Amino acid sequence: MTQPLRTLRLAAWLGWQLETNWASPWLFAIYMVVKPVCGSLMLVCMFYAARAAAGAKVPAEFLPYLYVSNACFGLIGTVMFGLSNAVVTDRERYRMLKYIYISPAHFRTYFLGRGLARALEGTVGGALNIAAGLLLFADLRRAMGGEGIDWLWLVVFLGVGSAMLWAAGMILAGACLNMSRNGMFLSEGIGGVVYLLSGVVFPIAVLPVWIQWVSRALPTTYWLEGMRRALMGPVPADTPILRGPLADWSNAELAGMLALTTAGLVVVAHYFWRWNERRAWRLGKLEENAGV
Amino acid sequence: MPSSLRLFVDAARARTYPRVAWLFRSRTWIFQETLLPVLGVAAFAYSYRAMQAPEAYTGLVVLGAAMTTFWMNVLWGMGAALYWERDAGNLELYVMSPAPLMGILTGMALGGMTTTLVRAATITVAGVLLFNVPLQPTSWWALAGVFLLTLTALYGLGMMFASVFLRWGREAWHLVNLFQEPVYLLTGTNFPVSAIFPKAVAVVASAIPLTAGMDAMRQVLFHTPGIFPVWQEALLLAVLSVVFLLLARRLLRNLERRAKEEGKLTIRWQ
Amino acid sequence: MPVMDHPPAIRTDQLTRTYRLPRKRWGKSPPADGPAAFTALDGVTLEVRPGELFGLLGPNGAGKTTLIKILTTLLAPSSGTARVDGLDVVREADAIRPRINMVSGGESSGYGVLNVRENLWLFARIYGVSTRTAYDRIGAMLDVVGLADKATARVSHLSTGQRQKMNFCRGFITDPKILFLDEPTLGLDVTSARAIRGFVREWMAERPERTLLLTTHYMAEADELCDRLAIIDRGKVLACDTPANLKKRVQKHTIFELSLAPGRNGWADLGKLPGVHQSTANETPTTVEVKVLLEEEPVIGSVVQKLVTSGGHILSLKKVEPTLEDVFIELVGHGLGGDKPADRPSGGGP
Repeated sequence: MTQPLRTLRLAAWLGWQLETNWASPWLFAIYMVVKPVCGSLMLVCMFYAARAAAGAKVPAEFLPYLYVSNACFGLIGTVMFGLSNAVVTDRERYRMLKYIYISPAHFRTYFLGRGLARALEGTVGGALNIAAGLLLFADLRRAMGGEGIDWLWLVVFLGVGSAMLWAAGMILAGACLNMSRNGMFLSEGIGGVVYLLSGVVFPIAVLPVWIQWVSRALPTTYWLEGMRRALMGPVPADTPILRGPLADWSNAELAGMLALTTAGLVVVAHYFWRWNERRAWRLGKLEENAGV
Repeated sequence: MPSSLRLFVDAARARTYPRVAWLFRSRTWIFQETLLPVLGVAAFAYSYRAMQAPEAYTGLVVLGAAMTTFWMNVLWGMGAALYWERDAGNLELYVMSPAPLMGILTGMALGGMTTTLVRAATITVAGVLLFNVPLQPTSWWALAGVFLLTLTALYGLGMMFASVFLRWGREAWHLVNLFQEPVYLLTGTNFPVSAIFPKAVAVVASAIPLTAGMDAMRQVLFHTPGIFPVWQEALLLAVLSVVFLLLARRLLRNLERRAKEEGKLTIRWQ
Repeated sequence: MPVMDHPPAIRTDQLTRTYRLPRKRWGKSPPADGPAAFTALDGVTLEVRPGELFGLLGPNGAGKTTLIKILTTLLAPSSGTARVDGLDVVREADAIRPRINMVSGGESSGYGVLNVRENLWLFARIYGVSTRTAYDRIGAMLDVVGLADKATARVSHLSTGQRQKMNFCRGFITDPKILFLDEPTLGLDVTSARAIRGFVREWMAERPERTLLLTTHYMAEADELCDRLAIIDRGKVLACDTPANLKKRVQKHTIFELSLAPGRNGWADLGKLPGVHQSTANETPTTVEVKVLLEEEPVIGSVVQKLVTSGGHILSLKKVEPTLEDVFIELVGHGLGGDKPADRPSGGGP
């Protein structure tokens, strides 16, 4: 039992060191704030551009929807991209992946540890992003101040969500085991697809019906809906533009569906990782370098 | 002994080769380089649709996504390139060779442009077809001219980044990452800059070639209001191209000197 | 054979290189009592004549690679001067580069997505070698190193040794006037290493103006190939001469090799015996290999007596001719493999 814990601790420590020790603490703090806030501000600019062009048709509630969704999605992006990046850099740059593989450390636990470091970074980034939004935009203050944060559901969604994040990250990291350095771009691309299908910047009702069913098969859709509800309360009934097919679900139904789809994702991640690990071992990909 | 110009051309052609070869040899590039970015673009297009913005706004997103691929390539394929080359053990071979480093960087730029052009073209065609983007350019020639000037200025900037990032060592990776979102914001990747930013901010943002380039192309394609008239933005891009290329050359020499003094040309894993 | 009436192919004068140690980050700084800088080369003065095959011998961290990096224009000296083919490495680096090339053994380079031939072609082209000439030379070189059947294999699919062979070819296809080989046979099998040594000799014999600077850990390789050698340790050149002359330094001593049964029975104190100039030992699980340099041959009697009275069990004893390793031990105090020096009185003997 101590071996997996030691692996977890060391991997998390290593991940944190690699993420942070490249810069002075001040530069790192700027990095933690600027990146997510600028991403959200771009959406805010889109909102105002659309409002300027379409007038009153765009409700004020659209801005907090965009902002909070995007801030929460940052956590998904950080962990998913972070895990595949861990595979690529450990193999291509530090050339340590093969040594970790042959060590007594549990390979998957090692990546869980690396993911923990990224999750911490993503959580802090997300919180800072929302804090900046609260400071800058009255619409966001109104939305989050209305019913206040539902801490119980926030903990529930974050708890189940962490299993979802790890599973999603392991699927991408597994794929990267068999890919060259370009695996990093794959994970970014997949991140974009999940961004689309989970309805981060629009309610999924806008999507064609058959795509909506794909969205409803993804745990990220339920997680984001749950996080929005926990932070801002349910979508107001007088803004039909923001009401998607999940608007009438209760929090318990959302959490149940999130748990169910996450369980499915964990099973897929388990087998997909195992298959990729064996394939990489068979093809000698664990130590292959391919610079372009 | 071959002339400097000949060596420059030979080096550029040789260094273009691995990037273009990768395009034909990577079995996953069609999936990862074209299909995935198109789906990523769709999120913003649907967002505008949900907000009932005019159809031309979807065009802004598609053009923004296509041009952003070049920015990504400039950052990751050019800016971080010398850093990757050092990690792969190739940088010292290039520095030791008689080929000018600018030739090597030009090769990287040409190779990167070729592969990225395919990606950008796919995004554009797919975006236009999927979202019925209305295209009524005032002049295809003006569009082509502005596009080429934008690429020249962008890759000139990329060459500059290559020197700077190599000197910053491992920080480069994070700095590339750090620059991504602020640049998306300042360049107006998904929205018309002049409609949102105060004039002063828009003017400052125009120092990034992507801002001026996209603004001019949007004016030509979608008749959106611009920061400056198209011809002025074209002129600005031409000036930026020259400035960036000259600065890149100077910085590269400076980098080589400093890196040799500090012994950073051959130390890996920084 | 060296061309005598030309300026030196390589010349260094009081060449020094220091590295600053890492700076403070995240509140962690290096130990306060530790040095702020590390000296890799310390006043190295060397001269290599055109046409010469010159060797650099030294343990890990001796400064060999730093010296090569300075000479190949990759690293700036901290002080002193270095000239390659009469040109200054700092001010005339651009003029030096077309004349040189380097092979660094044990390091991999190249593009995994390209095959062997394409990689070599790429590196030939950046030297301005035409495609036709490059392909001719690549074909010939791949035959030399036994890699012809892998010409179209992607580099990412090659073994470490095969990558090293490709790397070796890269150094020759530009036909440099001065070539730097840094541990070229490191990690290669015996047959490949022999083929490479043979090729290096032929390559040097082909044109008398070619110069080659070789660093190696393998004493026999240095002895077999080099016209002259410099022994370097901790950034300083300790000796520089032909292998024969270097060996003469220890020829005044008689050398015996003894093989002992394991155990610390007397051999550690052999250096203290009168008439024993130096004694080194290498412990293996099954034996202790002891080498003694004696002022006079009859001193071997005292050595044997000391070992026997201390309970040592001598398995074999033989008189040997001096090798470069003996020279190295004489100068550095230990062997390249880390052989332990036995105690000896100050002043080197009675």
